Amino acid sequence: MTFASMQQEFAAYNTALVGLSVDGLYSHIAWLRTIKDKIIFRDMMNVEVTFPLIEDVSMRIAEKYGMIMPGEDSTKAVRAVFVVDPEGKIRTVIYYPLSLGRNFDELLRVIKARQTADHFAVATPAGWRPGEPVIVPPAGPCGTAAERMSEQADGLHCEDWFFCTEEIPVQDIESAVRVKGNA
Amino acid sequence: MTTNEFPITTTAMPRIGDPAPAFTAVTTRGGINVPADYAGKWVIFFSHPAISLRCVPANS
Repeated sequence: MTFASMQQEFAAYNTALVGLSVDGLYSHIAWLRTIKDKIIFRDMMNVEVTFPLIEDVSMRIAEKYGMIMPGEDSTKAVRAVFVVDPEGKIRTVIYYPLSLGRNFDELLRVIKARQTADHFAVATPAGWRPGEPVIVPPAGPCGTAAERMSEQADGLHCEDWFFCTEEIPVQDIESAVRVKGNA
Repeated sequence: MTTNEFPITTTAMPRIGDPAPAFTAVTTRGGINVPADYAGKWVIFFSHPAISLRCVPANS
């Protein structure tokens, strides 16, 4: 339900949502109708789930992705999250047990951080949010290391030759990764 | 009803950097082919615990 209320926000970052549950199609449809018509949760109501929800009664797909953890429950998928990039490669994997809900702000942060890392060839530190300093990859040749420490290339802040950060303004990140025309 | 009506074989989860295992599926929005249908997009593929409640014998 929380995912559904944020689907536009994910779409703004060129990200599609695909859900899966080890249930039949009719249970899914009944569930989605109930969410839309009856359930009010944390001020969310009348939520329409527009992303596809996969039916996987046979657990064929859940098993392929290692979503069944028999020590937890052999008949249900745990809460797994796979972030797949535009080339079809897995870029982040997060697992939660059955009884622990996810943090969707964190998933949006993961998407923005992965896209920023790809676009600017940088790494993002703990708890990073757009606009905060990013980590620049360590200098390769020794000459570059010396240069970094002596001159401090434009916009770089080096604590030591192997630990340099730089600032990327939020608007630069937004214009690089946000889908155009999506306010 | 026991919980072992299907033999459970679990596979390792795909790792970061692996190609996403391909599959076709029936969904609430029609058939999909993952990851082919989503080329050029990022995808968050997530699982949700089953909604239907399976009865557990009272003495289990």
